[in-house]
Amino acid sequence: MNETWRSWLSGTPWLLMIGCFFIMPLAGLLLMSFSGEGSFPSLENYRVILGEGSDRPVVLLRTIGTALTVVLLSMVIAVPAAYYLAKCVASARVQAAVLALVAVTFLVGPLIRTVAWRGILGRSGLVNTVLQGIGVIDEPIMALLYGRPAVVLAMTYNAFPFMLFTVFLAMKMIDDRFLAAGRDLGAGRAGVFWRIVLPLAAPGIWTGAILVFVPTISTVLEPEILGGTSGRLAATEIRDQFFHALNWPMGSTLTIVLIIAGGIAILGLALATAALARLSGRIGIAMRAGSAR
Amino acid sequence: MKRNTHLTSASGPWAQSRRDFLKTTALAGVAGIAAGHFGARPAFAKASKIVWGTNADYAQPDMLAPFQKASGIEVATEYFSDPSELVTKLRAGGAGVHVMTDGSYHSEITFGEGVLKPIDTARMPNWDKMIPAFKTAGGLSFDGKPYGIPYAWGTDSVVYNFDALKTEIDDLGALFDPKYKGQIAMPNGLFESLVATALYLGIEKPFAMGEKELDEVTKVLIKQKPLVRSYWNDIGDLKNLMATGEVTICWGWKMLLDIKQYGIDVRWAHPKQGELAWYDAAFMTKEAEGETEEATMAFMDYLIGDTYGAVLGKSIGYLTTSTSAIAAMDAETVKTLGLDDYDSFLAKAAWWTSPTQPDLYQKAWDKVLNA
Repeated sequence: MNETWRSWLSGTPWLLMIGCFFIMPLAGLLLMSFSGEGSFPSLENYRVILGEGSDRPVVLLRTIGTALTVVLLSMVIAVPAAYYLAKCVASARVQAAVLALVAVTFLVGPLIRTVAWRGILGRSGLVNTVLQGIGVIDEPIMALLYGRPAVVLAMTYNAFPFMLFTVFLAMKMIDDRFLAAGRDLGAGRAGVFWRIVLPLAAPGIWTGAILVFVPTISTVLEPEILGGTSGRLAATEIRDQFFHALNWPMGSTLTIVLIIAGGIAILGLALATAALARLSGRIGIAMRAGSAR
Repeated sequence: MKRNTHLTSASGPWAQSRRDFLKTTALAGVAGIAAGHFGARPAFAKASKIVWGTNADYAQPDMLAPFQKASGIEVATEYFSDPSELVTKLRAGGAGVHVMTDGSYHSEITFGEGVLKPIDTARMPNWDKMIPAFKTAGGLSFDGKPYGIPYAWGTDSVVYNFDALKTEIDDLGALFDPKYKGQIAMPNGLFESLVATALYLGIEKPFAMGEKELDEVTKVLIKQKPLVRSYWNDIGDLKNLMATGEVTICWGWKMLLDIKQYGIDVRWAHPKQGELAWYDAAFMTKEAEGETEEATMAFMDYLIGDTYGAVLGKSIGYLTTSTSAIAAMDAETVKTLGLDDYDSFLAKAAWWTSPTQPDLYQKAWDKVLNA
């Protein structure tokens, strides 16, 4: 058996798994999306979703926009935190303790984590009670809960650890001598961060962005539990088509459209991250090579 | 959407294997007769376990225990908050559910999915004791064959927190009143908010609206959105919203009155525009075969018997369809539940049915949610 065959054979279980549990269901969805009323193949469902007068594109854009906002917020929180942890905290024990504290939130399920926000942002929740208690407000702020801000906040809380872990690992792997060399050559702390650390951590940021973006566009919990009347996003709509309206072809079509729109957004994210790395590091290969060589 | 699977197991000498069950069947029958629960219980129950797809409120331990104790048939439950969830699983096959609860608003859709099988009411001793109006109610028979056994009924209406509003409500317009901005909750179902709004607008047939009427309803609901704090997904969600004071007025179900136990003066309105009446029925699924079918029939008969009907009213305030259960209740309970004059109420009730054009209703509700 030559090397090529051996490689294929060793990869067979994984290929079978991907084929059975990813490609086949996806192909099934794709085929079902072409089921029109009494005809096959038909583009009717796509016409309904993307045609004139449809409100679905608005929901789709709202979904992508919400997910990108969550990615951005996760970056804003996770990148400085990961940098501080990886490069400014010397003790490996402290680093592990902080990461464990973040990881421990995963021990409770996403449902509990999401419902907990009702207790924090609600009419009689923690925030309103404290603000009223110290006399900052007389009446509770109702806008805190049941709206887009609460949804984005909860999604960010639920997803940002993915960004923190990947960015931390990417930054941890950066050789400290690069940073020392930068400082020796006259760069300040900010210069070192922007021109050395950030470009070299770009692959980690990019991976984190994907890990945050993908579950965020497909979640129904946060919009359903915290979204109020403005909570409807694409995943909720897909769920409703499959399980409430029993319109599987329409549900399949919405899923395919979401996958394509999500793919385009991910491409946009990749380009944006590469541009950020290029702009900050003035190098063009950070994304591809994963290092500044 | 939450779904739990709970096993409600038999206790005592009746929680036995199938072999033990066969040995003790006769004794169980005698015990049932002695307890007055199964005086006319047919001797066709054979399987030792069935699965009931239903709402958690209908399957509380004290409701099922008498049946399990007397028959030795274990009733496992699969909970859902929307029958469509279960229908989706039954359609895919292998759901393992033998009997399911469905409502007058949805049963026609379920039948259309081809997951139900007809029943023989002649084999159900309690069928003859049912309030006559329910035997002929819509959504129970299809193609001339009976499929559903209605066992609970009630109305849907406006529910409000009197302590917060400080006024009695007798008008559906309160749900659309800017005075209550940010305090209103409406149901997030495919039809419910549309139908409630149709009732408010005085549309004669809320379940048979055409495009023009649905457009009118949709506009009102979109205009209402800024006033609504949240759309509730299931009764648990609504109880939470009302109990925590997030909302003070809503379109709701009778079970919401449970939160009175927390000291909240929550009241049921009788709006001048009317209320919607509904029933929930048990339907046998195609997965009930052979011995399981026999056991399922016995269980469905139990649901319209004296024991279940009485516990239903006492535990969750729902109304039984059994005349003998009503006769067995004390006068005060009958009056509290409003069962003392059910004939006159049933004569003028606006019954939940499946919308004549569900696609249009679904598109209309989508439009409201997406706006």
